[in-house]
Amino acid sequence: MNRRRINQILAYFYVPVFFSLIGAVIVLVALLPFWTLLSTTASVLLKDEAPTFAASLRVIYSDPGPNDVNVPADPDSSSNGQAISLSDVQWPVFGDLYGELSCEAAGIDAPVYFGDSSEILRAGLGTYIGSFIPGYGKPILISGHDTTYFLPLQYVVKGDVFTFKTSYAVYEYEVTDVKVLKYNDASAFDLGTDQEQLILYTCYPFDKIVGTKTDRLFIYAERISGPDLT
Amino acid sequence: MVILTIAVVSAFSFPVFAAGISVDEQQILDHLDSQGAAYDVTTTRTFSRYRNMIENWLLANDISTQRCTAISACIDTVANRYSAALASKGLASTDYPGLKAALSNSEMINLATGMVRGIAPAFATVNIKLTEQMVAQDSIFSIEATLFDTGANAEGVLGASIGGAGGTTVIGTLDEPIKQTGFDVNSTVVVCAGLTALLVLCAAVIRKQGLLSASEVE
Repeated sequence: MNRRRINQILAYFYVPVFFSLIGAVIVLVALLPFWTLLSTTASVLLKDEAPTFAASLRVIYSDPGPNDVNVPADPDSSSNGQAISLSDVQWPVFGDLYGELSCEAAGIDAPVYFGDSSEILRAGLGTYIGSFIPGYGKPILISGHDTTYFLPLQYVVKGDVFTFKTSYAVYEYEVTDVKVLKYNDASAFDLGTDQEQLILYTCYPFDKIVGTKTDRLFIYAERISGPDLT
Repeated sequence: MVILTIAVVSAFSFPVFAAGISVDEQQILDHLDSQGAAYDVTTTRTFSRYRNMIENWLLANDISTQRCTAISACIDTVANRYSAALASKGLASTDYPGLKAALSNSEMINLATGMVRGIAPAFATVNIKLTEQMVAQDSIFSIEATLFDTGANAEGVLGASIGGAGGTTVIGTLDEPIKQTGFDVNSTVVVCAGLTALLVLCAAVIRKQGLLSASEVE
């Protein structure tokens, strides 16, 4: 049996192996961006109970409930005259679940964390740690993925009301503006201001799947109820 | 300027619940403001971001008077390094735009990397671990530094992550405020295209060598 014949026989083994490996690598790389989605879906289907997405994150939030003294009885009431001492507030640190944001009109209801790492954004909405929390009188910059918690953000319009529940009080914010801007647009927000403004954003457009999304949908809302932190 | 603010963001520890900002803690903010004013950076967006991080950290923690003093020293350490960087380019301390114009991107990266590594020992004295990472986004390279509060008894912690795992807590990060909040599959497309090209190349080689047509040839 000559050398060429041996090579031909061996080719029946290593060519399929080679192509199988190449195929596996292609499938692996192609699925990598969707791995979290796939594994989460699998875990949801296989588990008997609801999965915990944020096992490594700390929870300091507890729903104040409708009878809490700081929950506004009248949604249109002003925050004037109400105040909570900072000593009564457990200030969040990076990774803390400290609130819940909802908007009935748009169908948004999501947990809010302090910090906006990729781990946090998988678990809920993230607050940029260079911004603040409700009631402090300074900007609140919150992000969420456009395929999960902030998918309904596209339905938000001026005048919609967001309810921001924290352990210490419930706040309401009315949407005043909706903009689509570049991700690096310097005019999108000013974190140095002493005016409380809820700024929500997510990637835009929503139906773009392939390619980097350089636009962001920004929602701006002003506080209409809830106590000051002093 | 970025590094100047890192120092303050980083220089806190003992995560216990605090009631607002104490007099000592306010002095830290005042010291930062005065140093920022000296270098004419208080109106920059970066300064606002990191000053807010500091304020948040002060609101969440009680800092002893002794530690506040050490933190102020860290601020001075960073300010001195920043001042030296300006001087090396023949610029005045208030010429922040001048520094940006005088340095190329690679020089800016080198400066940032050097400063981050240079001030890390000062942070260690106040139980702060500082890590830096080169980040590329949209063809723009930057340094992202992350600051971990290691607490009083957690020296040498390596497994730092969010939420305080390994006894650490993230204090501040030098990333941009606006995050990627949607799919980015560009890299996948590029890699798949590359692998497809490789596949075609392999097929061409196999065809040229006749490896799959041996029996027919025979």
